Amino acid sequence: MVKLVKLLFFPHEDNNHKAFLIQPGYIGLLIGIYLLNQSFIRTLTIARPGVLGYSSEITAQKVLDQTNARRQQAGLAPLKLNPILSQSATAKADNMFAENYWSHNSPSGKTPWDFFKGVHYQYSVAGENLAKDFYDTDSMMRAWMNSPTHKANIVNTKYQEIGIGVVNGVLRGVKTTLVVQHFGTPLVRAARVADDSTAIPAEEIAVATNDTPASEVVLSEVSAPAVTPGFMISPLQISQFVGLAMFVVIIATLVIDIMSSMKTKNHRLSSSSLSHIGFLAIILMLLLFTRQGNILY
Amino acid sequence: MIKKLENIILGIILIAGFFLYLYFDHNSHYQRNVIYLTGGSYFLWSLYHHYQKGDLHLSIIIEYLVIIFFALIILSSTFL
Repeated sequence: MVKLVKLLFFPHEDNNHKAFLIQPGYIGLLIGIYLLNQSFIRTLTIARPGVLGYSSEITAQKVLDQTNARRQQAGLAPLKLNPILSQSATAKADNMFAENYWSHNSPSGKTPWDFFKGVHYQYSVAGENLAKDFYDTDSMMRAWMNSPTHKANIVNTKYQEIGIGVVNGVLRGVKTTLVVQHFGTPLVRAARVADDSTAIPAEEIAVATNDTPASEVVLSEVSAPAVTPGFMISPLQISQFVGLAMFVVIIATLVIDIMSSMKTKNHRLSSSSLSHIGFLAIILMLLLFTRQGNILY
Repeated sequence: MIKKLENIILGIILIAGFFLYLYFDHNSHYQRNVIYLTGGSYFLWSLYHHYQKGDLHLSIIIEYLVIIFFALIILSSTFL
């Protein structure tokens, strides 16, 4: 056992004067282990979304595409992406991280409609869907469509526009991605349509819809079921840890290799360990200093 | 002199790759391209380096390819 560890890290005549860990076959093995770990994490987060709490594949564009695909399947017109609604959806997600809550209403008393008003979006009807802890858009959309209230928002004939916020952050001590959908129909357009079809004066519509009854406003939230309440580990953290550990081990082995060859002054046919260290060090820094980002539309 | 120039080129490749990756934060498409470009440039540098050194052999080429593949697959599958 000790000899094997020695051969893994130190050059010796038994490993042809090159530590096993920096030989192509063993690096290939590490790649295999890493990919296996990634597959396991992915399978786990899809099968049991609440176990690990980070979503790395969801983007606003994917959410928009899938929402409109579901609407088209139901024979409805696609929703138009409204950047103003996306601003309110993003502001809502930011506020959930800032005030550390998972609910439609904030601890400080903000309702979803405060965010619509915050971006000056006048609506005749509005709704909100929330999701967190999903790894991919497909799983999240499936969960929404399996929930009657979420489905009611997604395939609601009253909505004309949508805004989507996909924001990463730390909620209750766990890294996660919050997805917020804000649905709406602008007040002016709704009034105009109603005016044309029913000949009711726009002012009356406006008065009626400014006091939209709660039943007309649909609120829905869904989160992946948390199997273990309290501490959760994010898939990104696991991947990052495994990746970092492998990098550190390889770099350490390369350093040992350089020191050993300087000591023994052996000339052998090999790649440059020093340049490998430089290359791997740069990638290591990227692993350490960058984090998953999501484009907000 | 040539060795010094080689080292400078390698430094430029790595530092440029590092900063370009950070520059394209939030754009995973460009970041992926930067990673591939950096890996590719490092590989080309290694070919030149060992050609100059006179020990350009298949086993060495494979070593570089495996190291590059290892680094890029971990970085790209973790973040992108």
